[in-house]
Amino acid sequence: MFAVCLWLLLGACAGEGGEKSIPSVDLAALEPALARRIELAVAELRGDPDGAESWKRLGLLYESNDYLGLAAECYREAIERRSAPELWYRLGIALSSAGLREQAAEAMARCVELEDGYAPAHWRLGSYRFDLNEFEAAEHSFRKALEADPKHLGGWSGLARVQLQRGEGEEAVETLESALKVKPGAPLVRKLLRSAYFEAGRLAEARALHVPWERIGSMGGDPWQREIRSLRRKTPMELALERLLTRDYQGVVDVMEPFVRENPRDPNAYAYLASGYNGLGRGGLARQTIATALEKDADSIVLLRVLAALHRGANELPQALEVLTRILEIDGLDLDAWRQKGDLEARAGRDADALESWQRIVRFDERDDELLLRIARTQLRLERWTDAQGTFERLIRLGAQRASACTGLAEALVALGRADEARRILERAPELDPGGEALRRRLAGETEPGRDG
Amino acid sequence: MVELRAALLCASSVVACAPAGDGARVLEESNEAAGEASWFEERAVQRGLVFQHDSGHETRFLYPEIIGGGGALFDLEGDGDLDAYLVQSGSIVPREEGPGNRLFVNDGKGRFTDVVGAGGASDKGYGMGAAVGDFDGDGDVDLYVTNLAENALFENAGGGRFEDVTQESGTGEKLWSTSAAFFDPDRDGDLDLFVVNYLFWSVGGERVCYVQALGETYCGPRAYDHPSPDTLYRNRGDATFENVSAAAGLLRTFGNGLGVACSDFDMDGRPDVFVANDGNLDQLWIQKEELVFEDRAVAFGCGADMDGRIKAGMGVGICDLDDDGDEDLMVVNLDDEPDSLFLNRRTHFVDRTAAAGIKGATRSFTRFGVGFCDLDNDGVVDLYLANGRVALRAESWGDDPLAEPNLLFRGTGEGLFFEEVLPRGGTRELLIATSRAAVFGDVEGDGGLDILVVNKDGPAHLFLNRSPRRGAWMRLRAVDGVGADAIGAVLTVRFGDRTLTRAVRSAYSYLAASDLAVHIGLGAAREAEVVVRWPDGLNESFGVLSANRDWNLRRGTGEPR
Repeated sequence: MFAVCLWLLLGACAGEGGEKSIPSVDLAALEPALARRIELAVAELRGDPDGAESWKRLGLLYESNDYLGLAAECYREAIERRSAPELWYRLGIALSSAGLREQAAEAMARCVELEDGYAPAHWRLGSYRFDLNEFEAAEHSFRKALEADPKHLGGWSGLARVQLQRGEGEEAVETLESALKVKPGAPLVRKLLRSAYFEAGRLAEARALHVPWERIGSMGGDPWQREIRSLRRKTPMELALERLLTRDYQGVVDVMEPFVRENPRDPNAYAYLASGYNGLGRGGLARQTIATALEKDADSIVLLRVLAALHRGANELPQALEVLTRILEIDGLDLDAWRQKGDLEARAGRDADALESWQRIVRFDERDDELLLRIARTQLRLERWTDAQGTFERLIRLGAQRASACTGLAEALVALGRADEARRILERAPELDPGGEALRRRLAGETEPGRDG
Repeated sequence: MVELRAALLCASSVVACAPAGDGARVLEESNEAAGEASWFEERAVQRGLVFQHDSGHETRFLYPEIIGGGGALFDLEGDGDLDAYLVQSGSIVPREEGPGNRLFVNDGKGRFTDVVGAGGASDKGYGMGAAVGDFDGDGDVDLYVTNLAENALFENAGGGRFEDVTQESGTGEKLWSTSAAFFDPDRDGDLDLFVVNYLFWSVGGERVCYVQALGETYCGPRAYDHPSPDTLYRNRGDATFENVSAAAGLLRTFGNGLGVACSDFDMDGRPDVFVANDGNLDQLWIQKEELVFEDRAVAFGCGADMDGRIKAGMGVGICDLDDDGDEDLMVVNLDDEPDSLFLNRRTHFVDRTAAAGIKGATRSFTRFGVGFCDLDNDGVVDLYLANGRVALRAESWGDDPLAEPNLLFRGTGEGLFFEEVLPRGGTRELLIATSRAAVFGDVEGDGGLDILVVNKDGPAHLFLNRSPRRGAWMRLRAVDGVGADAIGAVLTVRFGDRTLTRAVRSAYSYLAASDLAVHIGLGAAREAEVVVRWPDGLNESFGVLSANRDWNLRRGTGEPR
């Protein structure tokens, strides 16, 4: 079976008469800039069909755009011409990304045969073998990675992973503690350490170890990946978002203006462009951009959110409220819009309206204790004692804002003529805020400190 | 877009290839290479199960289009065979009522007849999934349908008819719901309902996402960043429900929920719930007091995988894989993310994905439907995965850019280890589709578990079990006094040197409701001893039962233990 396929694998590149054909894609279906780059690389290869570098360059271009099969074919052609470790490395990665771990491991094994001192290659080989359930071979590769670079996180984490899969929790803990000495605080190591504690039955330590949930970051330096990274391009939207987050507003405008011209149907693009203009202090242009986009899609919440933000930023509260109301007509479950609307209504002194808006949120969402407390206090202010009682009780049930909640609940109960209950609540409360303490004293008939003359 | 290069497919040693036209193309699978006959035969159309899912996709990439495709196998008429219900999506913009969901009645031999109007359960919502259970305790199986907007509850009215009781029951959740599960967390004898919700989405809030080389594609959940709470409905006992999500603590942790499985994970006698979330920490809702839950996924080590990586949780597989009496979990994920196979240690979970042989074998696919079932009846559970992408990629498997093959793994019984069954997916011809729900049940009544797979924008597949060297079996239906399936009951089955623990459940996999009966593969054994622990904790022995037949284990007819 494999022989037949291998024949095909090689034969797939052979045109009539045995001449090598160049793997290609339907350029018409591609983004024009990419199509041009592929055309150029193919033309270069036609001019130098026996050059390993030309095959590699086309392979890199394909790989960086996720054409993994085509990339693998090109790398194989390059390897036929020059069996270099970095070419086997690329082939291994392309095959692995395509899900062919066995073939990837074979290619990466060839790589380390040719270059024994490159830690990332050993780490990748170990990872492929790990995924193939070849734990002994994987362990060997991870140890080789650490021999080549004692600080290589991939080596340490790989070893720990093998130990964890073997059920060797204590050994994994030891490995990871060693890794932390080399790379203190490394997120992946801490995450694996948590798993190792679980594996070892050290539950208290596992639960006490707070781990960040962000991405695990790099395993270590990998210079052979630089070339492909430089070819990987972010989409304009990704670039714009990145620049918005770093407040590089001119950068946003630079990338979005041409993009919007090419993609006039994309509300996100207009939203980003308007945000860029606004960040540059060109509020008028920002509004004009949103208005233009709304002409195409009047119900785009993406656009309306930006418009509401522009109004809010300019302190145009009635206009902002109007836009938020429009959003909620389109999507009555837009909790962000309800929150913004409630906040603006509260700023405008419209407590009852704010209350109604916020309550739309807490029907689904109890994550924000502050919001619940604001609701309860607003209910107190509006003398909606029974509602306030319910909301404070809800806070107490959630174990949130205990001191304030106990005080508020007692206030509501007193207003409802249930002073005895209020007194009991304040007496049993584990903690009280100053208002609660004062109320407790008052209900107990005590004189407040400093007022006893 | 180009087809995933045949050369790579060939090199995977899974399919035989032959040159065709300008290169090579997949021709057919190689049974010689696989070394054994195929396990399944796809026979949906031949058996009358003609269903074409329609996501409604036209030009815009609307997110719900890639999520839907659910179904159910359950005994509608109480005649002992499994009928099929398939959930349709339809059109989002313009919102038009589609053809609705479809109901197919089984003649007992695995031949289906389309029931006009789905017996009253057509439900024209933009459909997602289904759950089944006898919520009104009248001895027949009722149906809950999850939708992009309002869900629907259908009471089985008998005679193959349903009645829509959504409004009076109070279960019309308006959030975007995906999977759902009937279970009895308060152990009061009636079934409550857990509904998994995905995210807050509206057409107006839709975004446009891009893939570098190809332009527009579907976004992922992070683009919206609006995860959703789940919903718990408490059955009042009078066929109406109360939304107790807030009191139950479910509004404190949000997630983009897709898959669900209920079990007493910490073995304290109270049922818990696991929810697979797409791009957030998964949730393990441990029931700490009656109907009060706390998300303990992180504290139990199953919120993320061994590496602490938060992944795109889709379907959930559940089974006692290591025969230690508690149930283990598997969460399936996006391509480039390995699955997570969590072994239950009752106080925590440990990740054994790589040791089980699954990690590398599945990660290049986007897995949705999942089931641990003994498909060859050798006494060891096997694993089936229904796959299909969610976003365009440069290389595809065929004309449908999202389609992928499904995967079948045989449980080797050597430790906890699975090996892929070839031909890939268990069928003689490699079938490629954008699969979502995988629903499990023996539709032919021949002792082999069959699989119904719902494919996005494609025809449903009915995989009839033809596995070679199939062992002995028994199908155990544990029912209460009125004949309602005892969801949450746990069966202990002893044969030879094996003791299996299997729960009565329908809700696992993805958007799916599978057969409520417990299917046991017995290998060479001809009989097995069966004890049922009912949801209220009482044990009842049904003695030694013979193989190769269905058994109805009615509460009160065995010997108390």
